Amino acid sequence: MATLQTGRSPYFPPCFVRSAKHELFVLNGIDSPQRWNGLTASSQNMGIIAPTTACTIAGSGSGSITGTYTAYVRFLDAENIPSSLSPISNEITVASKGQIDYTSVPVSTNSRVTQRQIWRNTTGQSTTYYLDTTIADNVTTTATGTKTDTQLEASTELPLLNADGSINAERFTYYPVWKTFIATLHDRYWVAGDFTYTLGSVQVTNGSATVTGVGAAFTSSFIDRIFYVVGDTASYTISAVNVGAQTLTLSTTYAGTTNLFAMYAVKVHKDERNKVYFSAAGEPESVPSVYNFKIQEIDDGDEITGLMPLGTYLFVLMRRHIFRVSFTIDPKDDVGSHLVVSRGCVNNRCWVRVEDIAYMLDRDGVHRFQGGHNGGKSDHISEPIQDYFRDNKINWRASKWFFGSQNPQEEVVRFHVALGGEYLPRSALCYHYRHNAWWVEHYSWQMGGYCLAQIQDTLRCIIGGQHFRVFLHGVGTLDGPTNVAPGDTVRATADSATLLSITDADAVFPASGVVGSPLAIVSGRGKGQIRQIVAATSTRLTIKNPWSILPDSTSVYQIGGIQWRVKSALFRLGNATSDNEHEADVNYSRRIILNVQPTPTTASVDVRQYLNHADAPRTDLVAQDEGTGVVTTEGESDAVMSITGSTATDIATGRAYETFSGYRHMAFNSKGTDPRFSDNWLAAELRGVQGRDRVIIYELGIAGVDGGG
Amino acid sequence: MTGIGFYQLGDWIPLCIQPHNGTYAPTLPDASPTAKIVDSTGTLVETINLPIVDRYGAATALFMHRRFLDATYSVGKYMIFYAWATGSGAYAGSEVQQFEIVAGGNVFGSHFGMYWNETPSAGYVISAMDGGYLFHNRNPH
Repeated sequence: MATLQTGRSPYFPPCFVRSAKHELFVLNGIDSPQRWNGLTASSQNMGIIAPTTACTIAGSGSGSITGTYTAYVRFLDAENIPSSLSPISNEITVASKGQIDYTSVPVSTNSRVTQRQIWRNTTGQSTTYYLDTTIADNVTTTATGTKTDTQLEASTELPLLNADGSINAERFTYYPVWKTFIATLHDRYWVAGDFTYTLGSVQVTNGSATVTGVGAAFTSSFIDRIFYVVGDTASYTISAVNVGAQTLTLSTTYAGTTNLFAMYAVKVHKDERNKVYFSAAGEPESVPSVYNFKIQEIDDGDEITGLMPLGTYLFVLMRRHIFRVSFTIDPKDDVGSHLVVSRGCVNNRCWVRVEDIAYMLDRDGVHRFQGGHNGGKSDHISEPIQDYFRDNKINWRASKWFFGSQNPQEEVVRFHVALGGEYLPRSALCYHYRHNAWWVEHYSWQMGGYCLAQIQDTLRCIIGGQHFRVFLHGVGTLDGPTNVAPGDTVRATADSATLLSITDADAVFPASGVVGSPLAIVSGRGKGQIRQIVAATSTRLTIKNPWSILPDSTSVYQIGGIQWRVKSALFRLGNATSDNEHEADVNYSRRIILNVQPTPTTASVDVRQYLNHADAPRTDLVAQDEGTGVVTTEGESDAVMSITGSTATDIATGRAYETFSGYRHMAFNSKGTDPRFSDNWLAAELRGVQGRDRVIIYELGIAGVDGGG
Repeated sequence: MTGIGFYQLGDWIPLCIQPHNGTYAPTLPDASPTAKIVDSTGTLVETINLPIVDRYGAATALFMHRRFLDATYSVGKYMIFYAWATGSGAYAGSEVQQFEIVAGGNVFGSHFGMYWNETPSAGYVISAMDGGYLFHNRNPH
């Protein structure tokens, strides 16, 4: 591990892109855009700022230099990436001079600059300049040029403008430092997006241009952005930032009411908000101010949330719309953008590209977007989990931290979202894109980023979590200790518990990796709770946050464990046409059937029934254990189905209802109640905590539904 | 004194207070309330001015700041002494909370961005951490 940069703002997640030259670029709209070439010890500011002062020129000696001259200076780094030009020098007219003397050659404060070039015109023209001399350091302030006009013309030339009148020598600048997203397509680099900054509060005083932030973490990048105070109609341009004192200086004095506790917002200028900038071809750091176009204003105030290359097009993502960007020869001349669909994407990290199809999360759900020559097409695909969107289960206030991931081995796309009041995502909406299947996973740790990395010649999904943890997705089943010996205790029954611990005198905990792992209660009192282990002795595990329900000696705990949950669609149950209860049973026998992979170690699946459109599962189960591997407890909502393949009532023995290995079912409401007049609708939910073995459910069947079963 | 729980290095701790006047009615203070954080030896770690929280206008004088537990802190117990004044100094309010930092955290914080950067010579996992760090990790295996 090595540090590329410190002191970065945590306010907005970064956006990354890689260039064809394997350079990495990092943007977040607050910190200076960064570049890393894979070689230097730390990253560098993107773009090289041009000299702000001119050099001075004069002729001396005797020789063949005759004419009227001016000169420019520009900075370069070790990779010959240049800046734009300095201001023009003084003009001189010389005759028969031996050399041109350059003095006051500007020096850069940027440590990236290692050399400087001096460019001079030939007499009679000032549209093309020629390389006269190079200073191979960033220290010396004098230089000498000895080239005659003929020699200059044989040197490298630098036209100030292209043939079409567009800028050329001044294109070497990275202008839109406030933009948050970057993408590459057709050898160009496209940047767009901005955000509203509202961290903390401010103190504003009528008649004063100074604004003091409280808990605001202002940065110098706020210069030239627009400052608003909630409740005031005026806006102000920020002219200076004192990062140490956490003050802003406004370009005019504040005309509103003095307020010690003002809410505020800092935004970029309105003209910038839907503007997309692009680079010169093959030059990621050459994004001058004039290389831009504007996305059509949408009357609903929609704003850019991301950039997505897909196929041969760039798509500009907004919250509720997607625009396609295209150009034929040069975007300076012929770039165009067109609205293609009225679905969007919540942020730049919530689109996942799989085989030229993009899966995207927006406020309405998940949609599958196909670009293409005919525009674009979007299909809504998240109906099975639409309750998450409809019932406000998702914490949209944290949506800037949501992200999508793809696991190519599983053929699954996940959208990592925060539920409730969480900050970083702890849950994932999961979609198997081959089988069109949905489920939801909950994790013990917050997760904040993802990448597909080449590991041992295979693209593997890596997830970044809290406390600097990194997870290789799909490896292991516990999210707990990584080196578990056969005799180690990972799942067992507790002896006792306190608010912040459990004790198991018989335990032999794994030698390492226990502290920091989740501790789940998977059965018995307190089932369903997961806490984080912060200390361990040979018999006692201490947790970070207290139990809500105190476990006891009936509680089965597990070190590590991934919570999972699948809920079926709603089915209408069949109605009996006969008054004969037995006949009704035969024809409309109601059963939930699981076809699973039996597990070598103890594992179970909880089945819940949601009847008649209810938001909560039924809790009127009766206590039952017929030795079929399905156990219900009176007053509980979970019917616990064993999927263990090694116990007396195991799923592999084919006892009771089982007809073949891996087949398990439970009957519900098929006797003792007249099915014609009772429950008519059912959604089944399966849930559990994965143990040492992967839980694989091949099929969930519901018997007794209308039109099948 | 109120305990606000266990945290680990790399977590964000909420510093939250609702100043009140002498009759315990929530009241805007004369200036932003301060939170002095003191370690178990009584040493002042830092003093933080708290910003107001008023996004929805639902609460009077609610102040909150999220503090990242960086290397300024270590495993152990801490006290937070909140102080404010109302009525031009007529009432000086205070409140005390405590929290404990337990083992198992990391001062770099949580990932909030990742990227795979493959170069001809090596592959790098780039990690952006909410502790303000940008890291590269070479050739994962």
